[in-house]
Amino acid sequence: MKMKKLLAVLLAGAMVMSMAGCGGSGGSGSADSGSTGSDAAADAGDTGSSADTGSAADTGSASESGDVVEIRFTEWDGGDTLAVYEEVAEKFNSTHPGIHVTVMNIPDEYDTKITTMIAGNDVPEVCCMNSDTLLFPLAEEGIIANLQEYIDNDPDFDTECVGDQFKYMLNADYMAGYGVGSENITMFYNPALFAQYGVEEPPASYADAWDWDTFVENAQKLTIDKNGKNALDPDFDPENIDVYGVTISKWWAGYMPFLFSQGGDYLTADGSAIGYATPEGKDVLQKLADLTYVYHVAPTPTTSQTMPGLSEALATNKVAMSFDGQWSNATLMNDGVEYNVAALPKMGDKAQTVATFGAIALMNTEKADAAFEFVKFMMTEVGACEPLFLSGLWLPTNMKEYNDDYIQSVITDKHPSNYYETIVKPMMDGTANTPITAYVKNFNKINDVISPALDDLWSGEKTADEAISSIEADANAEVAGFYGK
Amino acid sequence: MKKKKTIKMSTWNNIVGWGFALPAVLGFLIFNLVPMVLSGYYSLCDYNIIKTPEFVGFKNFIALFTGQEKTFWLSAKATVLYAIMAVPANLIFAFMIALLLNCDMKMRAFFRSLFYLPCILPAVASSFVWILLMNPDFGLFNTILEWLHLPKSQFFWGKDSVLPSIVFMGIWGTGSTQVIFLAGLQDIPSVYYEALEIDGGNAWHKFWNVTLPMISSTLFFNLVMGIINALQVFGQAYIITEGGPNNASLFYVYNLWRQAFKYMDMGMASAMAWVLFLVVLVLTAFVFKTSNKWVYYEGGEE
Repeated sequence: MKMKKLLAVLLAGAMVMSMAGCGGSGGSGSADSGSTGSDAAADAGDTGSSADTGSAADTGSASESGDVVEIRFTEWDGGDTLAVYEEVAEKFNSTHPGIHVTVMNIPDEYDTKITTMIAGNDVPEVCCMNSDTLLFPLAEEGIIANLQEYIDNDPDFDTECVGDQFKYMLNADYMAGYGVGSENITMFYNPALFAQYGVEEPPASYADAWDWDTFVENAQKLTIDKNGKNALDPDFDPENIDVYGVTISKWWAGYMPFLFSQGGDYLTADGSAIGYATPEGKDVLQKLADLTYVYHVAPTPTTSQTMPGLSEALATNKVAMSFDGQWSNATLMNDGVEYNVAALPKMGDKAQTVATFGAIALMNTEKADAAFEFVKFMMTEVGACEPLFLSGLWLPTNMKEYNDDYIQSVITDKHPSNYYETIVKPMMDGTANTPITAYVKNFNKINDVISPALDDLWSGEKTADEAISSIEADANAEVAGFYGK
Repeated sequence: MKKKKTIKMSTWNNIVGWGFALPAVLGFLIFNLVPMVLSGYYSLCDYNIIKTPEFVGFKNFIALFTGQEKTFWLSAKATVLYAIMAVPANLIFAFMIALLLNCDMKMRAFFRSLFYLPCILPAVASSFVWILLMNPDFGLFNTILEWLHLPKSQFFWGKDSVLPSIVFMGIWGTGSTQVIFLAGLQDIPSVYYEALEIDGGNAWHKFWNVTLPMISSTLFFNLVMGIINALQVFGQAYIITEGGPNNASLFYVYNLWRQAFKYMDMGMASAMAWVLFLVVLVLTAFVFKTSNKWVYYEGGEE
């Protein structure tokens, strides 16, 4: 009997371990459906590509000794983006007879899969990389090759295509990756609501951007309760708001344009402390929170949970202005929503925004020379990703594509009328800052300390000062300076 | 000749026996034991998958227990709070449903399937249904609360309400516990009830003096499994709350997953896994120890 019990305890113990395993895989399984759900368009392309993946891996190892070098290019986007990548690969393959590129789509748990492949000594030759997680650690280990070296050693490489703002530099000499598919944070607005309530439309150019007070006042005029009163009216009912003046996006890219505008950055200039803990940083966060709790022009976090997507919110007059990623243009244009874009307002002297983009990285493999040809093609071939510029999803990272003739040719009738002035121009004149993930070390950990604390700010329980002070020491403990910006 | 054959027979039986057991044994060795031993080693290393593991002794454990890794105690607290609420709630609810489903009634098979149904739904699908139901603004629950003139709740989005909400959601998915209870209930010979009826016992006597003692071994099993499951809660944090608001639902295993796959700190994650393993082992041993006092085995020694 005793023996039996002992055995039972041991088995129960073993069960824990095996269940932990199950839990993990169950989790990732569920994550799959979650994240593909978020990108509805992605689903269509996925099934086809996963079949490709299998065959790619096979042929990759089989034909290594043959004349054609097999290159795998991994990426996480599905839908239109995947289709474009496949088109690019096809175009490349037809012009480069000795090399064959296969797009390997990894829609979920991307970093985990790449890491596992590396651990299994099966490194894909070219990878899209998340700049906040794997890119720099892999470059530090030399698993990602120094792209700068390859560019310098290639006399044919057209360096005019390369823009400094799109480089991911580990240090001054080591280029870990180059931007692919740039985007920036911008303001979407609903012109019909502006006309209805007699508010002047926001300026298209960052040079003329509204200052914060003007913006808040206009947002108040556009926030309407169920009795038709606006937020400036003394009888305004903040409990029953029909139309919100503005929605903001609550992640680093949503806050950074305003911190840049105040002359701050994610870290202090010496790279020793978080920028939100400075007076400017706290002011930015407080002003954003005040939109909800002082001026009642932005929804609370719980209300925003239930707001419809941007397309529907604009189309059904639920919101007048929204700070969101430029990539939303693709959905809005596709849905045929009547909208326009405008410069973000400024909190400081100069209106700013922030760019976001993934990185394409050349992996340090035996086939790196051939793989570099493909990276080069992606970086220098004008119009390689053109369908995505046409759809409004992406902006170029190839400087030659910012040439006036070309960029005007990819702005269609469907693009909002301010597209060039508001969205394209900031990428060229420096108004769109380099994403902080490109130069802040240990970004993910710092961010995971800060974000939960901000929950208390956005829910109105704490002031920005209280929220940031509560984690300032913990966050600063994770700060590790800058990469070679 | 004859003798030789019998020896061969028993050896042959052994071979066959082991042959049949081999997949399970190998499975255990390869997929459980080896990873366990490996993770035990990694827990003593600085290891991020990419680099070769570097032995650092108990550094990871020290970082965890001394609070250098700030989130460790936060997540331990959230998980213990959850377990304290979830284990009794799930057991009581599942037991009550099992009692009902054990009654003679019309459409019993239908109801039995109905209550098991949530178990076969994908976690993501059911999570989204609950997100809608618990929506603070237009969700069904708050609509009902408002109609009853009761205070509304923020559910998943409130620091104090997020854990009870997850417990409440979990109760709905206790189908397999119900089935095990139901099997236990059906195992109780009806003679006991008949004897009690002859002695003039009422329904309460039946429940207290027959059902409960007879079901205690099933209850014991479900309690152990319930504790193990509760300490490993993960999906809700992963799908619904992402550990929020303000880390209120940063469950232990979710935190472990984040260490491993977001920060790529396999050493720390392995250390956390081992701490959890030991805690579960001790808890299980403790429950087994106390079980002599309250679990009745039919035909057992006591």
